[in-house]
Amino acid sequence: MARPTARTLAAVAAGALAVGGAAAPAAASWSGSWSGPGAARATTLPAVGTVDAVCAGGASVAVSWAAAAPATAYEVWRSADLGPWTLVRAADPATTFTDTAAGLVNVSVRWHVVASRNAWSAPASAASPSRVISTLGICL
Amino acid sequence: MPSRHRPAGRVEDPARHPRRVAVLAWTLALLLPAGVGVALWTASGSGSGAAKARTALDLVVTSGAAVGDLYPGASGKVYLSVENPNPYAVTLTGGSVTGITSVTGSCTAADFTLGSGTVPSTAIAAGATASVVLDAALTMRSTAGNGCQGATVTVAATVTGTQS
Repeated sequence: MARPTARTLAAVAAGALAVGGAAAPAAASWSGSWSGPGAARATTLPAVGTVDAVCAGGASVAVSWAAAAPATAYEVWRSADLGPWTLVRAADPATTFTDTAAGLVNVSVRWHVVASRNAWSAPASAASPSRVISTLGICL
Repeated sequence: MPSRHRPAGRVEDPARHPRRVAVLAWTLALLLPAGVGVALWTASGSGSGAAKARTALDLVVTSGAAVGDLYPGASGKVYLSVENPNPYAVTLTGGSVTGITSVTGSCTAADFTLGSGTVPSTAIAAGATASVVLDAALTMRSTAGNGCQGATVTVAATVTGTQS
């Protein structure tokens, strides 16, 4: 083992003094700033869940669904006998819509909803249960 | 052990070897308990010593695991991972986003604006890595199109801190 030198002993002694706290140094801290990459991510607009279609008197059908954040507006689309979908209500914040289903008699009518937020739009929801308007103008 | 060049029992003249005496004095001062009286020769010596301050190592900032919380018109968080390679703790005191480096999909940097961003005071232990979130550091413009849904944004971020 190497013999201790005056230098190493002086260093040890200085260390012992510092550990013993005989003389507290002035509080000075290093500080700085550091840069690098960070990550952020956008969400996706979810499709509206279950869409209900309930007879609401006469030929009227009440269509409703739960809000799907962060969507702020909902379009309502209608289809008769699984034909093409037709927009029956433009984007609106309300989560209910009453459709008179005018002119649709003895056909199976369904609705689906498309959620949107500004320029974003979500996939269409699944179709609601079907309703039929009888020739007497009654929702069945 | 006696010196090879000195007869056993011969008393050494301290004046001829002041550094040895200093070494002996320091050694005894360190090893003996307080209050033990010791008779010593007195001597003084001088020489040079050296000490060197440690160089502070840079904290390493990398991207963290981002959670999708941006949508048109909303401010979102920027996720960082910060490693402290120093042998002392560092407390983060601030942070900001200085630019957008890349955006995936058909979304572009023009679909975002930079926010002021805030960082909760975060202590990172010596040698540890911490997940850090810059809150409200980025906002998606309300005009952002469908191509921004699910997009990942890489930004240039800066954090500031001080030794804890």
